[in-house]
Amino acid sequence: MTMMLASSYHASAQNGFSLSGQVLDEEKLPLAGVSVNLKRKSSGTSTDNSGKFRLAGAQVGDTLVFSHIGYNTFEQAVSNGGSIQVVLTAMNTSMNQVVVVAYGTQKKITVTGALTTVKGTELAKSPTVNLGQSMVGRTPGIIAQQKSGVPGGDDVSIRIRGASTFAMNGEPLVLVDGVERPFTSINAEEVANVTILKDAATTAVYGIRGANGVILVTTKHGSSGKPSISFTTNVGIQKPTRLPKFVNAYDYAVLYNEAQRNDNPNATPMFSDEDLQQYKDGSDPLFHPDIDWVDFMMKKSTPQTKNTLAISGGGKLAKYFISLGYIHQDGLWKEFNKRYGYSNNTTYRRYNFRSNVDFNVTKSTVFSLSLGGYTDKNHTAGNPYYQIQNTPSGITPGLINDQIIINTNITARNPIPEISKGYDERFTNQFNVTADLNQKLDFVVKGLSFRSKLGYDSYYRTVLSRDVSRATFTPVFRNINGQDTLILQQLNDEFVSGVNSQTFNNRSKRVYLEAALQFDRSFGKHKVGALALYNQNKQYWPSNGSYTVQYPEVAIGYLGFVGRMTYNYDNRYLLEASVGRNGSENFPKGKRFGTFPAVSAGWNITNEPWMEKLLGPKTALSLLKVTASYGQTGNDKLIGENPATRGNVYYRFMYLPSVYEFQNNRVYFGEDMTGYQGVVEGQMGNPEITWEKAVKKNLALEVGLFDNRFSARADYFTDNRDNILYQKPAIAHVAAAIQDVYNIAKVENHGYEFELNWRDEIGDLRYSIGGNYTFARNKVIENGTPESPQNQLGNSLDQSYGLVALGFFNSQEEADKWMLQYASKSTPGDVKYRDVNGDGKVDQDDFVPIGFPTFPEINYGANLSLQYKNFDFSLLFQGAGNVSRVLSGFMQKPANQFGTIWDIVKEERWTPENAANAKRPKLTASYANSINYHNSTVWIRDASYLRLKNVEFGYNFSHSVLKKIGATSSRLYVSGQNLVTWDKLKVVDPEQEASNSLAYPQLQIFNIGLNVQF
Amino acid sequence: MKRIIYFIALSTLVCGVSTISGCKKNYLEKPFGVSFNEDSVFARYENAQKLVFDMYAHRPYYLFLNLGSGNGARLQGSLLECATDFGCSFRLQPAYGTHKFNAGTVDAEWLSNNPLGEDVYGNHYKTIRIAFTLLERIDEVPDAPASVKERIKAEAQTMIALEYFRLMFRYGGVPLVKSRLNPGEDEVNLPRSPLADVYNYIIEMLDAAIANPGFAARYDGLEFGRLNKAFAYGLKARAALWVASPLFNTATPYMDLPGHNDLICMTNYDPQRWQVAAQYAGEAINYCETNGYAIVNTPDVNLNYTISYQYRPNQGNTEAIWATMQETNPPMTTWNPRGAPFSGHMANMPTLNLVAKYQNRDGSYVDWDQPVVTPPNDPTYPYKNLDPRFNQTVMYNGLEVYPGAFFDNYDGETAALHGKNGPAKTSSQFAHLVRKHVFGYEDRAITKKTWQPLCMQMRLTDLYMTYAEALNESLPAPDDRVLTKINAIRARSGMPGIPAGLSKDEMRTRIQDEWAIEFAFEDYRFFDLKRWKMGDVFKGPIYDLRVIKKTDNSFVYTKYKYEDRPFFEWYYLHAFPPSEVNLKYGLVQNPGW
Repeated sequence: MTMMLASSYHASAQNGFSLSGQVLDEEKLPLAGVSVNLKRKSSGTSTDNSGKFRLAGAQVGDTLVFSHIGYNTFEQAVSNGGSIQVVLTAMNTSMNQVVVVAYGTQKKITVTGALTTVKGTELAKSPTVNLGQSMVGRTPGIIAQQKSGVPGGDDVSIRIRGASTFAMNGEPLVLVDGVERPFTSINAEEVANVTILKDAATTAVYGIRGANGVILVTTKHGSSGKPSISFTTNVGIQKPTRLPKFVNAYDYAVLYNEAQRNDNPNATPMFSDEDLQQYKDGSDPLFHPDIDWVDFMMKKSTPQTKNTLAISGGGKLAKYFISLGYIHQDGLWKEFNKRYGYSNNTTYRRYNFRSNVDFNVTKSTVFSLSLGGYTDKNHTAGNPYYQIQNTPSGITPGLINDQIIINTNITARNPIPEISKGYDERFTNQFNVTADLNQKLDFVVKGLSFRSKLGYDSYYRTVLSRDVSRATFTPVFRNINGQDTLILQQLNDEFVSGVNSQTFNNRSKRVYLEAALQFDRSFGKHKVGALALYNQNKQYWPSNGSYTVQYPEVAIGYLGFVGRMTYNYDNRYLLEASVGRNGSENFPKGKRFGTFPAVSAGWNITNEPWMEKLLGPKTALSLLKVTASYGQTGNDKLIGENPATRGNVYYRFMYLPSVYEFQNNRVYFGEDMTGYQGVVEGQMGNPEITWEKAVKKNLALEVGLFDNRFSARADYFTDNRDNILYQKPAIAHVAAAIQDVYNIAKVENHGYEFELNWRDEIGDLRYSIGGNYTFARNKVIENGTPESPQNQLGNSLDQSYGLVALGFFNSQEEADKWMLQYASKSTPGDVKYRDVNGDGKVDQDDFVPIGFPTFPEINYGANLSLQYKNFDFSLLFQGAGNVSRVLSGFMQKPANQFGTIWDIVKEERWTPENAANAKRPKLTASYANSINYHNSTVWIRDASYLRLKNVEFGYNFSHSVLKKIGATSSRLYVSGQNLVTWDKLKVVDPEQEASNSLAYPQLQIFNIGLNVQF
Repeated sequence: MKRIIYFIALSTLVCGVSTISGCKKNYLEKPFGVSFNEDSVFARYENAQKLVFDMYAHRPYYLFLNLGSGNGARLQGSLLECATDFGCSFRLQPAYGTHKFNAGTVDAEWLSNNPLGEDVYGNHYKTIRIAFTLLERIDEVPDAPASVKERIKAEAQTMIALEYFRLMFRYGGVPLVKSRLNPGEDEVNLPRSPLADVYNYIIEMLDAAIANPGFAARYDGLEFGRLNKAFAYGLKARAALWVASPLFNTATPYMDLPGHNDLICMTNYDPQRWQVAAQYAGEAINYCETNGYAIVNTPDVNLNYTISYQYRPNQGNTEAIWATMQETNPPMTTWNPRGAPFSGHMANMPTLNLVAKYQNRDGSYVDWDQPVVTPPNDPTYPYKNLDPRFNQTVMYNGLEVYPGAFFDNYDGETAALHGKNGPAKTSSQFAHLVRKHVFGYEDRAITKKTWQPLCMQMRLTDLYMTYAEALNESLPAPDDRVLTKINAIRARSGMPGIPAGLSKDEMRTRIQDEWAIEFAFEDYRFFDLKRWKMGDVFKGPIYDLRVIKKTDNSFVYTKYKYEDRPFFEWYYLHAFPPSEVNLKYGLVQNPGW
């Protein structure tokens, strides 16, 4: 954003006139060394130490270009000679940038904690629909895993600096405009920036909720000026990054017979020679078909669109930003149910809106009213992915004359009934109101201000559904007039229901209140800041799809007090102390409130006067800063397994003892058999329960070189958790009590982050290149369970344990010579395991940690961006390392219950001929022998990857073109997501969580977009 | 306009200020009245009764007739007999738990600490905990008469005995908890008690329940399924039979457990134990028969058997002592035959080893060692004269299961085929299918009759057999008392009596075969074979019949060996869950595991 403040001019001669002026920075201080050029000429000048310049030979119609490293380039049309004053705004990478911190903003140069900011414009480069996905790879310290690409269900699970606590309890706190809210459905074009708070200095003020890090999403606000209208439209094509490949019908039959023979040579093979022949020559497409179900059911590609209209501007009374967004994303399923009047494809539509208005009520009062939200519609039919993986290619021809064919001889499977079983339409309304009041109280004490915030959110969801059960048919031969005639015999009736409306987990409401006094003032070179803040938060009718909540009728409540002091001497010595005092309903009186202090300090060495003496005025070193922070935060949340229902439950009021719950049909009695309700003893309650404690340290070094053209930051961090809330410290079964929740586990997490950037220009080419790298490793120090081979302390939370495979037995003699494995004898083709503990037998006591954790320890990203004249280009690579995948389900057990066989199994399975190259044991059809399917290194695969996450190529239309349409700027671009992936897993997308790949595939997106501004 | 904004701004300010002043003390307190605790349970009989019901939540149940629906179906729906020489679960469905026994790959944690395994060790103690809670506090209930409270106490004592018995025959001696334990206050890291102590505690609890006048001999009608005094009597006999049997009644256990042999055997052989078992069984039979129980003996010899384990008292079952129930109209698909019109999966299949045990009605046996060739169009030829109990237990080729529905389970003479919707023996694997428990309900899909399978836990014939077996072992040669009991069971199903004059050993074999047939697929054989220390029987060989339809419409039944199975000596007793042993509080694992 560049502004021309004033201009005056003098007429000049024909061969050009001379221009003079001054260039200032945002703080109205002169900028030296700014290059000032006339666009049509290659020569120009630069500003002196007082920021002044003088340039001759300008003509009417010329364009002046001001450029300076670390500042945004500014162009100014020359209408006449004279003197002009120009203010260059700093690029956000510069140290002058103001960053969002907890409950406020701070100048980046004075920040002493660990935080990173991603600009909304960066996020908007990803042609994805989900904001969480857009963050992947763009900044160090944030680790996101996307589980599925299904429209409307493609959320990411985010960890900041890896995991330090168990499972779902490790999710960071997410605040949108200062209120706890989900953020992934927000339109990226509404987002000003996303800040990730990582260490104790930045998160201690969130106290009991800050331990897992905090994500602050700030939406855009208007700025003074004429209304500016921006319209962006994107059209994209989505394709799966990778689809599963299964063997064809003939190979399936051969492999199945092989599997059966391995199990029991006496058994009659499932597929006779005649069957095999028919699969081979395709002579019987009805009973011996060969269907590639993935291809049968899925399209090659499918469209998506994103459109945003935004208007912003402002005057004396108010500034405003208003935006409307529309997203449409189609799924990959082909249509099978048109004649029933509905689509079976998955589609997602979302309308986002936002209206952020800031009113200058008085000279010292700003009142902001932000309304935001979305309404979406997610249309889903069945997800037949499981059925596809369960239906071998030679079982059924699928459809004949649009009738669903079921052959019952081998197995009555067909994926089409699943996708034809009707549809659900989920409508979600999320409406957020944020009202902020800022009152300067300079008339009381200079530098004092008061602010308050009111957040009110409402969430509502309804589902319309329609059940369809299509008739299925089986082909049978009937003797009609002495002829074997094929008829399609109907197996079940067709059923089409009306539209049902259902609501579940359907509403919630949140009321958040905050009030604060703030003091900021400079005394010469001393700058002092102080903050005292109170907040309270209640969520009514809490609901979450992935867990149930105890006492859903009682609102979840939080109370908090925040205090913060900052001191800064000449931007050289920085000190900050903060404290959060929070209360959680989960803990008993007396243990309910926790105090979480943090201190941090920073030293800008380059601001020391002696540095200039030491290194001279022309030093390449432009920034050298060290910061350190130490503090404590907490966690009060436990999502654990409900022992009664085995689902996940959000534990509340953990101190309450012996709660009994009613459960239906615990027993049946009577000659008429009636179910009776029982009353079930619940958790025993722990009166000693209190918050989980995180002690965090952070050390950081920041370096800038060559006028900050090169910048780098390195962080070393530790996050030591103690008193981790843990639900099952195992105690002897004889107690038979559902154990208390304890503060028992202990986890240590440490790691480092690097971020490097180089930006420069060569002639008209401006470029930047950067990278980030995060390593985080955690160790379980204590989990309340005695150490055993299956529970070895000192390893990662996501560590897999299992046996070490030594290979496969290649002969019966070899197997006989070996010891008993799991109290049984092995046969050729079985896995040979190592007797780790040397007790002469192989069993679960020989478990060792195998592979890397299933959550990556290493995450990195690299980006390149180029700008040449009207063209721009950017690339983002992203990758993960030190991560393993444990094969399970179909990936591990081919042909299981007539399930499919992955193509790769053909090469990997053990056979006497393939013994040398085998990567998995001999096939089995019955799986009666489970010896090969214990956790072991046989099933561990390297899941590290590198992918070209994002590419964008844009063209900015020149002014002459823009004039014709009355636009101020316009850009046409093409972009792509997940374009290339390099990995070792090969069979499924390496990011996909489901090990057996029963999920909708990850997506590749090819996008074309246009942005016009008026 | 500006005024409005000013107003809103001011109210926000007021809001902000009032939050500070109005920060209520109980903001984080749970509102009163939401929780329901143990005092509430015992404050009203209505609630206390629900705890009584909950004591039954982990009652024994072996008839999960379809694949586990995620709610903890034991063995994922296969019958435990399929882990013995009598059965095989459908091989191409790996989920069936009995495969692990067949392949010799039982892993300890699955076996005894998995809702889909054979047992959940901890559940026994959960039930025991509830029983002790009831014993401890039931007297506090203000609105129940003393007689009801007494009955609940006797019920709780019988339940404690039952759970220790279920633990004893699986694990041997186990930690003996004699009160409710409160973690944090009470020691919960208890060692295993000697087998004899566990047995004695079982008898002690049962005697206490039997002495309770509030405990009735039977509960019928709406209360059918509740424990009763007849069962307490019967359980005494059953427990005594176990400690008298070869597995436990010995000084040298099946494997040596150095220093701890008293955990897995009675430490000596005492023939007296057989006498005690016979005595308890005699007392139990006497108590039952003087309190309205009698063996089912209607004129219909082809149905008496079914009545005895499938019917309810109000349908004429006079011998059911205790039965449990679980599901109304469970899906039958997995149990049904393959092919039209059943389209099932043939989940549980009897082997020829069992089929060959059935006698013809004249006491002779079918010779399966030679191929049996039937006349044309008469597939059921070899089965025609078998024990009526066979027809009620097993489905066989050519059987008209219900009018118009034939069980065709053969291969054609030429290549087997997929696609002509013919019978497909190949994909069924075995020639026979379990019919017991579904008998009479195979046409349910058509008739829609309500099917509520009964899981019989003890019936009077069980006590007859216990009495006969224990008496035979305690006598030098079987006498008339032994024969009377067995022959009563055979006679009511139309079978001739066992002749007098057999030796003790001959009689033992006949008794074992009678247990096998009368209680087939009722969860007996797996543990009985162990009780008799007949582990080798598990090994097979396992036989089946190959059924070929010739072009002249005759059938050939040919015996063939399906497989051999391993049996390891440590299988005699279950392993304690390794996760429990790994708690390292001193729980001694059974040998071999």
